[in-house]
Amino acid sequence: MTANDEELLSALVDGELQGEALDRAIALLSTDQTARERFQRYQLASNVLHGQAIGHQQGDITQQISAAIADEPVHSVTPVQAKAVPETPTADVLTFPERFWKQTVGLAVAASFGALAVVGTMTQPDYAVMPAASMAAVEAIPVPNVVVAQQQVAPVPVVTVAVQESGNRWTVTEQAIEDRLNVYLVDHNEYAGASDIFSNARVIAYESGR
Amino acid sequence: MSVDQELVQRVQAGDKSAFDVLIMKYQQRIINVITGFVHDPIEAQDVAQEAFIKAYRAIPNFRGDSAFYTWLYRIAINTSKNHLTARARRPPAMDVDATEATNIFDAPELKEFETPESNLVSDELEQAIHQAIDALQEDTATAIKLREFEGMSYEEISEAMECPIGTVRSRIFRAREAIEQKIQTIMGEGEQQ
Repeated sequence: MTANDEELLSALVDGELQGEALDRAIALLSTDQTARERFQRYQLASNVLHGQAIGHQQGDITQQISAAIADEPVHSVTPVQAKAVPETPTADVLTFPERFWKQTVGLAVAASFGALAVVGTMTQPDYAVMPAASMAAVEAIPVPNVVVAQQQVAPVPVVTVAVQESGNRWTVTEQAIEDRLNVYLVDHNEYAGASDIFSNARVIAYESGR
Repeated sequence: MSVDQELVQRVQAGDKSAFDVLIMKYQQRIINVITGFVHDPIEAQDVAQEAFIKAYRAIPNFRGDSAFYTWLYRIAINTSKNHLTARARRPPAMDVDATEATNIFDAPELKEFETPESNLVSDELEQAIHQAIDALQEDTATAIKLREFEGMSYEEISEAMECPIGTVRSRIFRAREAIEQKIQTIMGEGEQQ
């Protein structure tokens, strides 16, 4: 093997061979065991430099695979056939990446679901959104104010619903404090956690009369 | 057209020796990938053989929409999983994306399969290669660094270093010769032990 041959193998590792030079390299590797070993070591060095660790001492499995595929039929697909795509007349259509359609469909589904939920909530009686288990307790407690705010832009509709009793709520007895709390909650509803469906609406409540 | 594409087209046209070149080029990386699934090195080589044979059979259908190595990598992963399933062992829970294929051992879920001995070999090789590069003449060292670390083509390197492509090719070859000698020394020591 000459120095030129070795240089050829080095260029093959770098993918810098075409046409006749590639023919020569293939022929060299097919016939010369030293060339094979040299090529493998060049490739090994390149792999290591690219951060691909060598897990263990590896043998050359080329011969075994060559022997295994020796009886396989020789392919006869020409490069032109391999690349050929049946050409059909097509109109000029704007194509979007697959990701675009996935996102669009996802948004549409989320919007539909959100709209259904909002319409469903608005058309039901107020107590229908209550958990069944808390309905009895609702009868006994005063009904507090609950505000549904639309990002502080739309007029604020006032809806009354009951809230389940819990042991760690504030007790509001004075009307002035109650009014101030109402204003505070409405003003700060934008800081409430966002949800996918009710991203523009927040249910704000506190328990009064306890 | 890349060398891989040209080699694939030659295989598709009936040149089996072109497939040998693809095996030589990628067998180390494919065996490394498979070793992440199949711990035993000998078993990993058997699975790699199976993967390459599958690739040869399927190569008429390879249209070049992805890089050849990406395609081969997927075949290797599937073959490994099928192998483990056939042996009633569970494949690793985490799959590895094909885009990570070039840095497969950076993946922590595969790292665990390496042994201290194998890490030692890799580290030793890497150190020796860097020492060899440091000992090179400046032009030669720059050429190999631009090629291997920056991934530049010969044409880009010739522009960057303001020299003909033939000179770039020679410099990179000389660098590889020096590296190769270091590798041979390490491999020789390894075989003696």
